[in-house]
Amino acid sequence: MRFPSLLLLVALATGCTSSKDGITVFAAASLTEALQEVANEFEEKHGAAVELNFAGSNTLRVQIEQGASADVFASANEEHMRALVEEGYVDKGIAFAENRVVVVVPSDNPANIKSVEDLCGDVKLVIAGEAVPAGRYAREALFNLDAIYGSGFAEQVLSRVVSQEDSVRGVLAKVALGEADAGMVYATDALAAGDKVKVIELPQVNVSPRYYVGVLSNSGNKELAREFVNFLLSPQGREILQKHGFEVVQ
Amino acid sequence: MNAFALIRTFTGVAVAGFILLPVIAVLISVSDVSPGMLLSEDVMAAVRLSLFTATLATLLIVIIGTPVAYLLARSSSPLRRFLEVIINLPMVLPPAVAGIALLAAFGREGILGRYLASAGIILPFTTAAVVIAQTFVALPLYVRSARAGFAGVSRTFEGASYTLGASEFTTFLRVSLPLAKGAIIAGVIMSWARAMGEFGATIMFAGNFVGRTQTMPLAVYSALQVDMGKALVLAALLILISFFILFAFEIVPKRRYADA
Repeated sequence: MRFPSLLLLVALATGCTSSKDGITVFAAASLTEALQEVANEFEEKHGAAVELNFAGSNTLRVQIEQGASADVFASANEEHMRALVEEGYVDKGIAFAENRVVVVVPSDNPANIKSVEDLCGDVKLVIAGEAVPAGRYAREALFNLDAIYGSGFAEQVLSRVVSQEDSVRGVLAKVALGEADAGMVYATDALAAGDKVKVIELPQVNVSPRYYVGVLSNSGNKELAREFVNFLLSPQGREILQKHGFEVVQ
Repeated sequence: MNAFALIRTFTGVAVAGFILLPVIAVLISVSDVSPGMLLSEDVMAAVRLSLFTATLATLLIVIIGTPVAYLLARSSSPLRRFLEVIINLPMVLPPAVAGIALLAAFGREGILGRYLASAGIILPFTTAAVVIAQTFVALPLYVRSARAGFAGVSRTFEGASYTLGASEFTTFLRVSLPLAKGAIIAGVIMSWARAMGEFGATIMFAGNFVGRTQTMPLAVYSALQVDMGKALVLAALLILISFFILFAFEIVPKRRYADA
């Protein structure tokens, strides 16, 4: 054997791309804990391996467009799912969960933020990037708040942004670490962070983040991928989502 | 040609191809992208910020690194090896670890950062944090090079300078420093290049904000999540800059060595 290491490399490369009894799920970062639990239950039930890849939905979309091999895509908004369906990468997107935008502050609340209005003051605010669903919902929510706090409110708050993170979990981490005074995340993220952050609810803003799931057109294991989606939509899957703070879509 | 020579030639070509292929691939793909992208506001902001912060970091590195390099080259203390290990540490730390470490030290809740914060100095999310991250990771490259340069300066010259009545500082400035010039310039170029390329520590410690903390590597990463074309333009730009830096590295020091 001249090049055993080369053979090993080839074996590794092929081993990763197409496993017969497993699927790869690309999911929005905010689904981290919920889908981990769903995947665990699914693995137990079906004896199949589920690989999870979490990132901002926009990042996952670009990865899929650039040819990443995945079987299931779960997006935190309709836009990225619709784009992939239109481009032929995903068969169809099904709405399965809803979320809520909230403001989080570190547990010791260094900037003493009591309400959303306080975000206008001298605070270090972190939100997700404009292409990230959480970043888009946050901006949308702020602009809707102009109706309550007066026009220019959103612009004023956005001028307090010190970092635009690549996923909602990046925002959460900066707040949980106490480096940012406030961040805009989903209610479910705040729940996942436990007592490291405090939640400040937004007034009624008419922004309802909606999650979509779909099977990839070129999935090597469509049957199992469909079963995973069905499991997610089943009462058991819904129960897990609810446990992690999501509203389920009927 | 014997078998060994054949293997050498083959690996030489293979290695060059392995490195060149991705680089050329970027340059080819970027030819499809409209050149107007290059002038887009956030691309220009990233280029400006990168040039500014990397240059400032290099300046800092030279100021604090030169005495340390001289100390390492001349000291015979048993602590010298210990110091050497410490200085080289950032070079082997994964960038994300460097980022967490900087947050733990200089973050608002960090062990030093909390005192700075109570004095009103908050580093994370500022351009200063970018410079600190770059300085942290690029310092060893300069110190190593400058130290080798100083070590190569014969003590006979320094001795002669002392005999002629020059003080230690004058000797350092007029004898040791000029003789180590080539190695120092090489160190400057390498640390500047490393600072330009800094990513992991920056995004963790300084965050990601256009014009303030989004340097070119961060802009590449951010663009990749939205617009492949913009990412390619920035990547190509970084490749060209790196290429010219290395080119300078090959040309300049040799001439300077010859002068010395």
